[in-house]
This record gives sequence, structure tokens and C-alpha cells, in this order.
Amino acid sequence: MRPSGAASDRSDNRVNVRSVARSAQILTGVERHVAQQEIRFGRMRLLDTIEGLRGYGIDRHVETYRSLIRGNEWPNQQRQTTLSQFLNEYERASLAYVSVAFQGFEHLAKPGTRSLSSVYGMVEASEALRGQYGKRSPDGLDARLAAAEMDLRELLLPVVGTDTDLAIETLCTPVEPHVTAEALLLEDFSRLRSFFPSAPSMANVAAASAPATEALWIFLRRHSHWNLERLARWFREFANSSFDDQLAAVRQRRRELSSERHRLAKEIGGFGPTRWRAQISGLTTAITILNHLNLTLEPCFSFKGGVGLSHAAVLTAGTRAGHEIGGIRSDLIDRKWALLETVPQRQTGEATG
Amino acid sequence: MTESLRTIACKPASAGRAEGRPVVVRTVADLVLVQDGDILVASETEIAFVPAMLRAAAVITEQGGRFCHAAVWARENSKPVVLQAEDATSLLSGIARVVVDADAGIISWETSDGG
Repeated sequence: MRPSGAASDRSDNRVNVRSVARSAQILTGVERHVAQQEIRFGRMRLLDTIEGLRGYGIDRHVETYRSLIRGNEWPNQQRQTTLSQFLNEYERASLAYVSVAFQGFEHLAKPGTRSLSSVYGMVEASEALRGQYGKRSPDGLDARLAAAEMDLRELLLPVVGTDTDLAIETLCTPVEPHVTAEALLLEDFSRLRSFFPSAPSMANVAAASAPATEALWIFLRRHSHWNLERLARWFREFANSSFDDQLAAVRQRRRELSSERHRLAKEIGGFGPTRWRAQISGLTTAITILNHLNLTLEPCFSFKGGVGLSHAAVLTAGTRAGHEIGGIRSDLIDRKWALLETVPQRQTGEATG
Repeated sequence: MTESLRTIACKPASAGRAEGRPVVVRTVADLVLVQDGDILVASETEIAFVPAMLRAAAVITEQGGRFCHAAVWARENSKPVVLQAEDATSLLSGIARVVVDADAGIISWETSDGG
């Protein structure tokens, strides 16, 4: 059976990114931006600021934030964009989210500097922009993932028959060089513990050597919301765990997954015309990139991470003060797109049309 | 009192089989309840669950697709994990033991009639 049809035509328009490295490029760029903002804000000041947010329920910020988001409508718009355009905008929206988070921290650290109305308006626009590319948006990452999976399933059917689920998992689970947040957590903690056998205090943080400081701030940024109490919790949780065997086993398993992926890709390469093979390759690349972002950037540097904590605290303060939140309002739509325009386009070398 | 076998069909995320005490995790604070060899049961997992997932013999979630955190973690860690186990957090509350068959995509447990 020769592959052809609707999925082929649709995927030509959706998939125009050639390298799975694009997600790593986005992730690295966003993390670099967070690190720059930390330094600009002042790292010790940031720890103090987070410590001062206890009144906002920082331990439950994800639940609070989620209910604020899900309890209200957001102006997520249906748009027709290519994957390359989507990733470009997603990257810029993520960078804007980080910048706004630190402006939120400025307000939370020193509430008199700028009015709550002004900071709240900016954070609300940032949330609307993040939502445009999020789970509940017709233009979001999850919607794109679902559409790409559907197209890939249709294209693979002639080759793998009823095993399309397994084939999609094998071809699209992110493996080297991609690392999930869960795997990063163990690697980062293992490195951190080589410098700090027990949870560091504020005084330990201030006095740490350069390599120890780097390991510490990576961990605080990615996994601890810059919260020393949260960091201490990881030390308690992992007190009796040695990760050496675990990490070795995960690396071995990832190599096996990678090898299965190559074997299946090679097998598929023996079937069908060139265009069909190219479409499968394009969809596989797209799904891998989107999965990698979902599994790493989202938990570390989006609403579940420390930058999300700032958004949650400002949104909570705003709603406590009686500000409206979300809604399908033209002013919010305008502010959302205006915020995106504050971040310049990246020159990726990929087609954007 | 008669006992009956109850089952839920689930989506397997990573193959394997395990049996143990189900521990329902509703909030991050519940994670300390998960001991070595327990079966972690949750609506969905997040990164804070990792230490408890490492201690658990298997993981059951009510939500999640083939590329959710629990599924990819399961594949990387070769641990039995099943997804989309409808109402598992309610049905497995107070149950002594549950069997997770992640090869077949079924979880099963004994219950008193009416339980």
C-alpha cells in the first residue's frame, strides 16, 4: 500500500523544522535568560524575596495558579502557523514570561516602586501570551502534538499496521541529546551533593566556591523555585539514595531507546516514496521537539517553575485587590501581542513561511 | 463475607508486573507515605514525585498520554507504570494490596462485596 492522502498534504505545511536540536536551543536560550535575570536582580536578594512570599502559599503555588487559570476564560486564538513560526513565537513568549516574572519579583520585593495595577496588567498579559501556546489553546503545544501524532499514525499505518502506538512511542520519545526534567533532577542533585553533603544554609550559599555556586544555582533555578526550604526537602527526600546505579541504568536505557529508534527509522526508510519518508521524518522531528519542550521547559521554566511562582503571587495579589482576571477582552488580546513584540525574532536559519 | 476481584483496564506505559500496598497521593505532602515497594497511585505525576516513584514498585495514574511525564519516566526507568486508570484514586483508597500488570494494562485487587 502506497502512502498518500490528507495527512501527507497537511504535514507538509505543519512541519518545516529540520533539526531536533531546535528544542535544546530554545531551552538553553531560556535558561540563559533566567540566569541573566537572576544576576541582574541579585541572587541573594532573590532568595530573600522568595522567603518573603510565604503569605502567597508558595508551597502550593501550582495548585493556586492552576485554579486561577482554569477558573477563568483566556483569549486563546486559532491561528494557522507553521511549526517553525510556532517555535519562534513559543521561544519569544517563554523569554517574555521570564522577563515579566522578574519584574513581578521587583514589585514583590519592594511593593511601592510600581503600582500593583501596572504590574498586574503586565503579568496578566504574560499569562495570556503563555496560554496562547499552552494546553488549552487551539494554537498550543499540546494541540500541535495531537495533530502531528494523528498525521504520523496515518502515514505509518501501511508499514507497522496495528503497532502504530508502539512505533510512535519508539520514534518520538525524546532520547539523547534530549534529557527530561526528571532525569535532569537526578543528575543535577548528584552534582550538587558532591559539593554540599547536606542542605546549604544562606551562609553556605554566600560563601560557596565558584563550581559549587554554579551547581547550586542550576539546582535552585531548575528544581527548587529559588527556595532554600524546598532545596532542603530534596536533600531529605534523597537522603538515603545513591543515584550512581540509577543514573547508569537510565543512561543505558536511553541508549537502548535510541538504538530502537534508529532501527525502526531505518526499517521505515526501506518503504514508500521519498516524499513520504521525508514527511515521516518531519513529523517525528516535530513530535520529538514538542515533547522535549513539554517535558523540560514546561516544568522548569514555565508556570510550574520559579518564574511561575512570581506570576502566581502577582495574580493572587491582584485578584485579592479586586482586579478582573482573564476573559475574552480586546485590550488583553492587544496587550498579549504587544508583549510578544518586545522580544526580537531569532534568526534560526529555518524557513518561517 | 465474600471477596470479589475487581479490575480496571489501563494504558500500559512501561512493561512489567508488581504487587503491593496502594498509596494514594493527592498532594505533594502525601508523598512521604510512599514506602519501598508500595504502589503509587495519583491523578497525574509531576517532578516532585520522582523520589517516591523511585521507591515505589509501580505507578498508577488516572490521566496521561503516551508522552506524559509518568510515561517517559517509566520508559527511562524500566518500571511498571499504567495510565488512564479511571477513578483509581477513589477505588484504591483503603485497599490492602493491588496487582499492577503493565504488560496487559490491567490492575486488579480483592475487595469485600460492596467495597
